[in-house]
Amino acid sequence: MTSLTPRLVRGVRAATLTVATAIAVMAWALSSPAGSAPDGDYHLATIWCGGGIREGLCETSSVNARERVIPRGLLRYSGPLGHLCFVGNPGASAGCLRDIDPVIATTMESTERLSYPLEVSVFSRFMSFFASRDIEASGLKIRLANIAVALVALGLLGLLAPAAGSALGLALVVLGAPVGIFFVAAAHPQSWVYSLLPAGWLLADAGFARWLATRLPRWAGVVALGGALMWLAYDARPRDSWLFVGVAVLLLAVRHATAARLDRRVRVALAAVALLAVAELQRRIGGPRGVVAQFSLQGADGAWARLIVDAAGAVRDLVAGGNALGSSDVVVPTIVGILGVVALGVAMAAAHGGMARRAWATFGLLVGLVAYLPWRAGDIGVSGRYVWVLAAIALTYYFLECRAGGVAIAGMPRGARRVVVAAAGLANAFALHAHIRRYVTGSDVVGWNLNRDAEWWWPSGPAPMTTWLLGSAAFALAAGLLVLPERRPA
Amino acid sequence: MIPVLRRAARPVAGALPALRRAARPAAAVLAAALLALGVVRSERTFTNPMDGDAIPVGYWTVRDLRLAVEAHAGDPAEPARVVLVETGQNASLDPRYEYAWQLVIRGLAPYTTARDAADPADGAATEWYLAHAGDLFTVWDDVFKSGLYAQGAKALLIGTLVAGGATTGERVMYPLNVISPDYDTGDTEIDYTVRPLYPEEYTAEISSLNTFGLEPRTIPFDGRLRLEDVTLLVEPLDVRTLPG
Repeated sequence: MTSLTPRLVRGVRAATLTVATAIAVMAWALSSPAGSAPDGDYHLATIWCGGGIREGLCETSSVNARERVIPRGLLRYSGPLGHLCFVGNPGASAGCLRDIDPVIATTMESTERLSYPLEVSVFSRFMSFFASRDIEASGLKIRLANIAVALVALGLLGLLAPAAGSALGLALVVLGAPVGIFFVAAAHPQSWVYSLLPAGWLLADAGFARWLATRLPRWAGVVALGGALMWLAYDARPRDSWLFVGVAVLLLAVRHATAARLDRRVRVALAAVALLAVAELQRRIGGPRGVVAQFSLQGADGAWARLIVDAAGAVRDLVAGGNALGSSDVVVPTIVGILGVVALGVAMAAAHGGMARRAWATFGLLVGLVAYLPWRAGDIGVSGRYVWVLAAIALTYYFLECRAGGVAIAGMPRGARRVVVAAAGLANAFALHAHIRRYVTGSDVVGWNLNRDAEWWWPSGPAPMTTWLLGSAAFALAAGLLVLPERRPA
Repeated sequence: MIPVLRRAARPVAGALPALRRAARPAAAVLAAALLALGVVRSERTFTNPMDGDAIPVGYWTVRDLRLAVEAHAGDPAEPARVVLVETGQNASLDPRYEYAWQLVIRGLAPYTTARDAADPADGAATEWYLAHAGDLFTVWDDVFKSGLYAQGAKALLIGTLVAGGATTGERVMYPLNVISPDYDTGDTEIDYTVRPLYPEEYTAEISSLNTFGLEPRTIPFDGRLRLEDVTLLVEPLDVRTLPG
């Protein structure tokens, strides 16, 4: 009985955390219509064609065999009578969907957006199962599937590597809303990059540490599982996640290269992996000469000015949403950024302690990359959402290395934890409210009641205010369960 | 004075830990109650702008109606049957030739609804929408190619009776056999040749579509009829027999 009760409490706590997380993310999934993710038309078209040629969904053009035609409703520029009629005008609600062209699902047109051959990934193949003529219903199913994928990945991490899961949990509490939580549920390949890469990296990291200590095959299996998740994240969006996967692999090597029990074979293998990762990074970035060339001053409109402006904007996006969120036209209130900075700052300051110099240096490099990459543009776009996953990895690394590699949360004062939960919970609530507002009435309508004068909502399911209330409460509950201390029995 | 105060405060101070212990569950219960109250109020006050105005996301052509129905039906062994429904603003019935009338439905909705004939458990039947795409005749023509309606289809015409150019407010229902649909009179009109159903043709299956409880009427011989707010329900069709 004595051992059963704490186990039962832990089980109830874990189940509550899972349900609360699911509700919090589902609220974000319901907060906008299908196609609201950045470049939603392109990503929906990729998913529609992810399952190959299918009648009525993705067909070969009769004019050009290399072209693909998809339902006209998926095209961004199909005019005011398409499923993306709301994009580009934050004042316009998604109410325009009610006036949609009756034949928009049956008329097949060229996307003019898909490259050939198609970038077919496991993500797009899997999500294509949910694609149908009913674009709205398909979009919702895809989001729910993404939430399930994220919950499974995080659940595996929580079960197999609780300490790492705790560090990632704290990072997600302070950095999760609004950008991370929006993308996890989005019909967008970054969903899998966000949910699978940090979880995969941490599973591989924890599994490797346990394997080094025990040499048990099951921990090698955990490493393989982590590697598989990282590969899925890479495969979902290879054009920029290669860099983040490379960084995660390097971090693995750095964190374990100095472990006391490393034998020569492991050291050689780690060095080989690190060398391969460095070589790949070198090949893709262009080496020091390319970096120097990019950093050279080019007058008033030069690189340094752009570095300062773009990097600052991208870092702001990480906590405040803004340009990174939704269809690039969601007006997020300033308070979200302020609360986000408070949560981030307090969590980092309170968790700080016992971090080795090597870890500080690594963390500094990661922060440098987060600031530098959006400026560099190219394959990494100038927006916080492109580097959000790197920021999440950097922050998780920080929390892992704090308190001498222990669980950072354990060392945080109770007051600081409460501030973190309150600030992050409020930031999520404000951001979710603004996001629902943008699509229900348009951002130009001011007011707390999202139900009033609604012009768009899902045909069935909870009302906008219900979604907001439950989503906000669930996020705060999940944050509380992750960050606030467990009550010890008297 | 101070010792008196101290003595008086002692029981209060003793109760503080208990109060503190109770504060957290009390706050949790209060928060849950407020949340439940907010949710109930939100659900009661919300009027969904999409009610009765569903996004026309599922406009299907006949060639893939079968795929749609089969995808939704779940059990491939079960017959996938749909009831085709046309709605229009008004309709006229005029004698065409012997025991045959011309039915013209005007102000036609831009789609034909295909309603799952299976009785839904929750009372809300699954529906598919067939885009006319400017050519409703093609839709009907495709259906006729299946051979099912070669001798015409049984149907129920329901509408509000109009007499002397004014509505009577009386809802009426005429069991018909609809044949030879034509669609060359405009985007929002459809033209059928129809005849009344013989009593033995008014089977239980076709009468089951009359969920409004209206008495079946017979078109007056050589008579003309004008109806408003019209619905034409066509007998269940097995979509697996559709072409394509």
